[in-house]
Amino acid sequence: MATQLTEKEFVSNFLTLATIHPFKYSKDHFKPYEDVEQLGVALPALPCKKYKYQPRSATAAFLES
Amino acid sequence: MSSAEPIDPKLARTLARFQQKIEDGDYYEAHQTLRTIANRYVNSKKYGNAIDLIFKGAQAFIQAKQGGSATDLIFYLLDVYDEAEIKVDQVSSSRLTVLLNDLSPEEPNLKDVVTGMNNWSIKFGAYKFGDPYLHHIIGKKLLQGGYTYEAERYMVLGNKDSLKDYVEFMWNWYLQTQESDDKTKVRVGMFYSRAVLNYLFISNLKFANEASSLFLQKYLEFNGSNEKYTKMDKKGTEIIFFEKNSELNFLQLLIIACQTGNSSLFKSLKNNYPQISSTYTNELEYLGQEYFGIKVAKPVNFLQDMMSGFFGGGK
Repeated sequence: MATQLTEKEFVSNFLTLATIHPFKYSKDHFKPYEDVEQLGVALPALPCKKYKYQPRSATAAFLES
Repeated sequence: MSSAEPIDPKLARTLARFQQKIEDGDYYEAHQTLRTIANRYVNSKKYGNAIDLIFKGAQAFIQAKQGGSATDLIFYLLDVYDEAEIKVDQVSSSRLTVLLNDLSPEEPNLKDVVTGMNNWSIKFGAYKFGDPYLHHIIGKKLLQGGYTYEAERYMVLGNKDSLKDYVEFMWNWYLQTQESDDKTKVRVGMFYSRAVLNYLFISNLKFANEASSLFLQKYLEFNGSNEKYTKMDKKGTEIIFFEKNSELNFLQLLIIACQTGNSSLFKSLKNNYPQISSTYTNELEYLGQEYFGIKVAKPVNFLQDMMSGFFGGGK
């Protein structure tokens, strides 16, 4: 009877199997935007209040740069 | 015509008069005069002069906080771009980004303005969804204006700076929920997943990987002391394994699975995380088709098939 793998064991096995053969795409692969024809599926809205831009908040400072 | 070219003396005089009217607070008169003169240039196909005049006029109105007149001129500028068939290049695009940068995020016409700009870049540029640099500026401005999901769409198809903004945006949103009553309803994976999935959808593994690293780095800085995690590495392929957050593990493995193009790995990932997979059913179906060639079986509609047969359709 096969024993159930822990999540960590599964991840370890997954990484081993994934790296047996060379990857089809490198970590830096991207399709040039000129060739992008589809955007995938629309992600559902988040179940929380709308993000509020707070110009004086330190957390939103990135928008000022 | 480029803005860097010397300005026609007649045009320079018009601009000086226009500027004076703005300074005097005579906005209506300034607006009407500028439009009339720009019309003359357009009718005589002196598009370069018309563009310079409208652009500078719109800038002046923005500085004078006359958003309505400014956006009217931006729409007019886009009309002239269209009529003159101005292609997307550094000069034509930067006129729009300058105006957009200066425009107030509270401007009521903001969404229409950015849509008009993007439509021009689709029509006269190389990209089906519009110019990436323009997307970057549009995404930022929309976010400032509180148009979150619209901003997200532009950020995904932006440039490298948009990637950083997108991660910051998702991270900030998550942080904001941690300070509010929303906290109980959200998982950090909901925010992390958006960047990962949106980049995987458009086959941008580079940005999916970078967004993943940036976001998780922030998460660990914020919550590292409460999370038990281990860095796992096989032949340079690594993930941060979270003892108590399977969703973050799943999404990191999903990026790796997409890189391999190995459908067995993809299926085993889905089977091992049935609950998380069911949360992302549509997204995984799409990725399954794109990266692994897994066709989605459409549900059979017997009634439709029967009717189609009656009317000689189908085959």
